[in-house]
Amino acid sequence: MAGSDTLTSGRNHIMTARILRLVFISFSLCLPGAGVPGAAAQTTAVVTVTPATNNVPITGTRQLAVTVTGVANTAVTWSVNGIAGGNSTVGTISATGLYTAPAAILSTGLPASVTATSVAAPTASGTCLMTVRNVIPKPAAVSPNPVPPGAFTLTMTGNNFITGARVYLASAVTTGTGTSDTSGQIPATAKAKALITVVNSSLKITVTGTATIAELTGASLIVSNPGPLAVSAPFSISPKSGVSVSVAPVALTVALGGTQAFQATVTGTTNLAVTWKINGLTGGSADVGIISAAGIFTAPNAVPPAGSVTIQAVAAADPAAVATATVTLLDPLAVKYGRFLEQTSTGPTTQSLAEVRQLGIPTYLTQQFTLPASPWPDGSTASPQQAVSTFIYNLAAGPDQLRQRMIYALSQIFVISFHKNPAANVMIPWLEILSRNAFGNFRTLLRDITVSQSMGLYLDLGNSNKPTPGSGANENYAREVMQLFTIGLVELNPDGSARLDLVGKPIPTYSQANVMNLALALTGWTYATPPGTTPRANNPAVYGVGEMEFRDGNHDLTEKRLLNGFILSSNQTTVADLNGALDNLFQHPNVGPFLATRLIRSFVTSNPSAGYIQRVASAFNNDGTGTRGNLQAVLTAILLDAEARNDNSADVTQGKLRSPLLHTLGLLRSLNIPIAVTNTIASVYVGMGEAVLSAPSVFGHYSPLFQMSVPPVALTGGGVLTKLFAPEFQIYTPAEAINRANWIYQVLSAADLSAFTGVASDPVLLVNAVDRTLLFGRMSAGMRGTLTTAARATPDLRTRALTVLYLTAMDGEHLVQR
Amino acid sequence: MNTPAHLSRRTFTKLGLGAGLGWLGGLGELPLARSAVSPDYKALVCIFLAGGNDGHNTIIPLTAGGSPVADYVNSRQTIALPSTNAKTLLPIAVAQPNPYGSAFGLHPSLAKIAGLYAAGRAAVIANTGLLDAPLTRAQFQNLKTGNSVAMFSHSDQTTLVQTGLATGGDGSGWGGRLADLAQPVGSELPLSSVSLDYSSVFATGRRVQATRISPGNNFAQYALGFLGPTDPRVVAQTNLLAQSTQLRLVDKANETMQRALELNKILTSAGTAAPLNVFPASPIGQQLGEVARIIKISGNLGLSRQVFYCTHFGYDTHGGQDWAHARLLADLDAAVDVFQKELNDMQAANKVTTFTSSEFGRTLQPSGTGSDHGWGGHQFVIGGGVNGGKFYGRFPTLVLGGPDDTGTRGVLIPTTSVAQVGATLAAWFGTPAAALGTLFPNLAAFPAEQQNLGFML
Repeated sequence: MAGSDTLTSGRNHIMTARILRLVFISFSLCLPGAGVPGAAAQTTAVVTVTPATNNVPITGTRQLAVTVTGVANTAVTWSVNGIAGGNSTVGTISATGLYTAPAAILSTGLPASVTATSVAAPTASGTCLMTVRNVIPKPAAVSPNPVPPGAFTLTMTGNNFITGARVYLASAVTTGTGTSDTSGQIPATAKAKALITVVNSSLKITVTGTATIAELTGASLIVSNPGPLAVSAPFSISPKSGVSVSVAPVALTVALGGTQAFQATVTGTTNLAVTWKINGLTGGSADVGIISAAGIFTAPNAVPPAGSVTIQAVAAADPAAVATATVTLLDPLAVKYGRFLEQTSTGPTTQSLAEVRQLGIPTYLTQQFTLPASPWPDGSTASPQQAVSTFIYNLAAGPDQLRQRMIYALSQIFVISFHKNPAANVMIPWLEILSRNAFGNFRTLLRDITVSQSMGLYLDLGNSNKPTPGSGANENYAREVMQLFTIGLVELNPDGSARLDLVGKPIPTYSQANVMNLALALTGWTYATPPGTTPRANNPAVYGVGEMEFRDGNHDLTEKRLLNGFILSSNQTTVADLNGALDNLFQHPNVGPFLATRLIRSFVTSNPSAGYIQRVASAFNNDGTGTRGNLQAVLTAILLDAEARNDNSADVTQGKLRSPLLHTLGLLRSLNIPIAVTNTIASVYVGMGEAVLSAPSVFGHYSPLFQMSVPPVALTGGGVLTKLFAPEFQIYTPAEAINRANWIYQVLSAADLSAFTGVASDPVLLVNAVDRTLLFGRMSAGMRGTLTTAARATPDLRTRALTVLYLTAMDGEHLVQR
Repeated sequence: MNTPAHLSRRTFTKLGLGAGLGWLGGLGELPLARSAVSPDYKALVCIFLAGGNDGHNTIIPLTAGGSPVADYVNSRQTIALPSTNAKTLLPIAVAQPNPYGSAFGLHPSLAKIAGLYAAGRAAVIANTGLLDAPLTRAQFQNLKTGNSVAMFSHSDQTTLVQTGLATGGDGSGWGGRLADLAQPVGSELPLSSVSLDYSSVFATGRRVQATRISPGNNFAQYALGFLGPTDPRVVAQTNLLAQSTQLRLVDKANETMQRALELNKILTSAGTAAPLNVFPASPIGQQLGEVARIIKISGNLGLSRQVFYCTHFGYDTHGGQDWAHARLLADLDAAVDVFQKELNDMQAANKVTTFTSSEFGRTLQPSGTGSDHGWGGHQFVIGGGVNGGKFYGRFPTLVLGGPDDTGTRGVLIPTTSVAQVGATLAAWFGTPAAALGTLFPNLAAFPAEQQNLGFML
């Protein structure tokens, strides 16, 4: 039967048995003459609709043709499932035979019967069986693929997925629901295995199931939307092999040019061989580093733009089995010069890094010692604001960075303050003294500060006269010059530790009697005589130019007993007593270790070893030419010491907290943010505990002896350390921490961050750029991971760059200079 | 000392604040509605009158007729009260023996403090100052050098008077040392010692670091403070601060920032505890308002002892003293008044003692329209725990070149040391007698019966 053949062959090969059965009934209705026995005797009219079967997607149209024979009137009427003209549920048919499918497949699951009936012979009709189907699903990708044997969960992406769709696994050996499935959605011929299917969207399906390797071999996934005929083309998948590979270590930092062995472990096969790749290149390259067949990695000689490379071990037994390791590349020269410049300047700049790379450390240091000093404004006309602004400007931008750093260090040891004397003609001469003596001799510095009008005013040596009833020699300077400027409270060993007496107690360096005797030795100094005025026995402190003047008439003439049994005999002049008293201090064995400890804490580390202090102290005692007190030799010893130059210290006590000024100004330098000589930023440091040149007292903003409890640190020689020196932490309490963070955020918010936003689209590149700038590539793996995650989750590129910079600038890893 | 340290510690740990670690529990556990102080709570509040208050014009001996005594008028001359800005002295009664009888007057700006005095809730400490041992005029004049370093220097005397020692000791403040005693070693609670000013020697202990707070400043972080806890940037910061590098200083720096963020949460929670009274807008009014706010959350923080330091600036009245002093004392009076009302409404008046302090007093003898740096000065102690309505310590003779003058200008030698005042307050705070000598190393230099002045109930 041709009609029967047509129907059968026209059926899609997946048609279900149920449909076959029902279509068989329809088929009988479709025969010309309605197939009623004996009807042929009543009429010869025959109505034929072509095609006899067809399918159409929902809302699609099909033009049907009709022929009427056996009667003169060939007119027909059209109906769908017996409804004249059809409707929105079964589809409509026009008078000319154009069928329009409904918006949804038929709920019966059957094709629509589209029938033409002869007007002349109403018993004669012809029908097309029209299957309304859903769109054909189109899978485009499956992940993972290869599919792991056993239980699996796969994500399929593509188009045209409809709720209710099902996914089948079909291969030569699958034994799924087969023909017993009556849903109309299973391949009729394949023994397809139904998988648990969740349609996430029209673009994505999640399937779960289990399968053996055999079932997955040569297999396809087939997606079927609800209803008949909406079945995808098979999507090929393959099984994942049982081979797996791991690599160790998985994350580490390697210095440029350095080597690192990697170990690959292959399981699931007897073939243990791997191929090594770097950034996808077998064996690597000069740019990304090379790796031998044995897994020995040799880092490249320059940091690639990404700052890190990915090493892959690919199993020879299965190229799909791959393990990866990430190597962060560290430029040891960046660390070397970066650390050096953090110690010798207010922080490295692009320019100073290039300079020191070119010159080398010794030459750079020599150059810094010989550079002319940055100028100060004229103290007699400048405002206090100008003094502060210039101090900040010189520290941030002066070419003589080492001298400025030394002035900063000295200003914290030999303190005077606007807090007590708010006049520029007091502060600027003071800064000039520190500047011109920065690389000079300590004895000269000591004399200059002692007879300075500024110090005379600050610690009341000015107009300290010999005693009269009701008025004593002022002790203020005498006490502080010993306690804070030269020898400290207790006698020191050359390595800075306290000397102990026979019962194990520290030995005081001086008594109250020593203070009183020194105060008497230093009587007789008055402020400078302003030009055009008559010198007075006690000049008022009005003229800031020049040194204090001596008045022997105001000088105490008694004998003075000073330190270590030294006596100033009676009836000496003001100047002779001054010189004798200062020599007595200068020659005290404490001065070397006392000053070494303070300067090392200011430049390099809060917790230097005893040996480091001793090496610097001996440079103070003798600069190599027999001279004592050579500050240039002291600085050289501090900065070139092995402990300062150790770029790979494992000491957990290393480093020093950046002070507010060094931290913030260093950040400006690192980010190339300019600062003007007329800057007015001084006020921000009040909230950070470091009111510029305005310490609350002669003790400064923080004490070089401030200590802090820490988790125990095991000492090499046995025992544990539970306290560390941490001077700058005295002004890093929560309040100052927040104020510092807030100002840094304000600065960053207003800054040109293009160097960072330019690479911010790749979070890894961004984090590496910040790492290189603020940590010289030493960011810890934990911090790197956290920042990369945060960057990835922050879509706006400027916010992203700002966030990584801010969090790094305020993290302990950057806050501590180390 | 009756501090339930263990209880405090436990409460604290429950809140996730133990050992300086992160804010684990969140604020959900805080019984915010309660906002009460613990039953045995005590706090000391120091109001530092910065610049050197003129005690001589704060408390004035009067004749039976109600006008200032002749010694006062003769010494003070042009700056003697009453004056243009201080017309009517406020009479207060004094039963304690002194050179000037029982009638005294307070500066007209101090109406509320006069009321507190009359109600027995305020006492006067006469002529107190920085002094390491009793000292006479003769002894002073025979000294070759002054009694303390840098006498008459604001900065030095401010530091020294707050250490409680003329020699400065180890640089810690006596309020901070009190907080040390109340806090277990290694687990010092935040806000056990609070400074409302950056200069905070008083509140800095040997172990306890003063938490510095500005009124209304809740440690808000500009960068991330306004983002929710699940914002990736906030999550990143939390994670970074919790990571350890093992480098001790690095970890300590992160711990500090972590504490700042915790304090932010604590103080933000306190922000919801609205004051019951309106505090004056003056700086000292705002500072005391902040103190009250923090006292209110002390119970939630497991704190049963707190030390506070406030600064009232402007007392260095070298010139124009009449107007300036009247204005300053009026600000002080109004701020103290509202603070005491707030404490009353919190049922905490007996638990909080407020006292004034100053780096030094002023010269009796005027210079122009003001006065110069002196030494001894009168101070107030205020609170429900004060045995008030009385004078403590010997009231000095107000005569230039007189028995209490160091010289000729009326720089009066203190007759009561800040150490004696501090020791009396420390005893009330719960310090065992044996520990008072550690707290004030020079206390033993004073007669045993005067080591506690008895002004606390």
